[in-house]
Amino acid sequence: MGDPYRFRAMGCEVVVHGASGSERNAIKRLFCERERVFSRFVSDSELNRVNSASGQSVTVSSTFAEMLALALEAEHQTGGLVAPTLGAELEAAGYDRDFALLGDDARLHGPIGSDPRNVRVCGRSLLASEGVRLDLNGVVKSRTVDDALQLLAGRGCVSAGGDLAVRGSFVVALPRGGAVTVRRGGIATSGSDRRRWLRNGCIQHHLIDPRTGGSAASPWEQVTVCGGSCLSADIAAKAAFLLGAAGPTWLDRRNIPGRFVPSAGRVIVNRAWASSLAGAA
Amino acid sequence: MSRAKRTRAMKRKQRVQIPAHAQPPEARPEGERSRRGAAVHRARIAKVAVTAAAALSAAAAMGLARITYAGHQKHVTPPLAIPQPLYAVVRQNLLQAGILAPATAPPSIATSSS
Repeated sequence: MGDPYRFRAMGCEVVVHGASGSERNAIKRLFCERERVFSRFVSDSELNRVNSASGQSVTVSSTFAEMLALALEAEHQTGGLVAPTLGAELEAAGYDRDFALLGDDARLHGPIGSDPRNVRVCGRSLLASEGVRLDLNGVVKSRTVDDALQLLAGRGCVSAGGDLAVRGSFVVALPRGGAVTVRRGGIATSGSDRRRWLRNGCIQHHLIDPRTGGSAASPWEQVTVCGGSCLSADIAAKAAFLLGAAGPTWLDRRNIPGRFVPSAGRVIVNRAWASSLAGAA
Repeated sequence: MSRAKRTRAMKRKQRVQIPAHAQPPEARPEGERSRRGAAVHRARIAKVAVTAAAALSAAAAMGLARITYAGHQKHVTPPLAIPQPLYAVVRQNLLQAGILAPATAPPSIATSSS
């Protein structure tokens, strides 16, 4: 397999293994198109148009409707933990511009978004309650990784900022050392070690706990999950991170392998991770 | 006809009594008046019964038409949405597990929080 193809999109580096020239172009085009639609930091993005019309019914593109439906389904399947309606909370925490431009901020924590955060989708019509601001970045990035993998004709791998999907086996390096072979699906890591900043002297990060409306307090620094797709892995990793000490058990109940890196102390894996490795050995 | 016969016939006619219904009420006998009153009462009851039956039939016909006729709205219109059973069938399980194995070579790619 030749050199990987790299480019920047959605605020992170995208790495593609096993793509031909035309496939590389198609993948880059896909990421750029999705970024234009879903970025909070592109002023004329569809996401910003929808957010500025909260409280009114708007017609959205089929891509937008599909992503929002996935995000709402993720919210349903994680019991509300991984929610697409936390844009206002992210901005209140200070993440209101591209992360590269984000510095330490002396302002106080902004007001938390509206409650309840209702969003209804029917076909391509969308109605969000007043004050709700959508942030679909998590779902969009991982789903785009999965969609990009479908553009490859043969064995390959697509990674966006460390969330990846594979076709064929790939050996993947893990946070804080170690490696594992991903035979099918995707692997994603969620954590508070990146995308963090200071606001009024308090550490903030991008993983918002919907129960508090603020940056999540979790014993884990990073949670890595192997899912049936990059989207599955990303949703499960976020939910396990937000659940804190209950994260490993929550993943085990769904037989999803998870690996937990605490802020201090040794790395632990859940039963599903251990049995997956033992079964394959 | 002879004069005597005509005279006898006229006397017979004069002897025939006037029928009861042709007589004024005060001239009718008591039994006759009570039979007529009962008949009027029965007729009134029959009119009320027929009117009530017609109203009931009309109401029943309207109800039946509402239930059976295809063009009529039979229930409160539900909002347009995917039926729940179909939704359950096509719903994507977003929490599926992937397949892992021990590493057998140096890693070619890394996962990290982004």
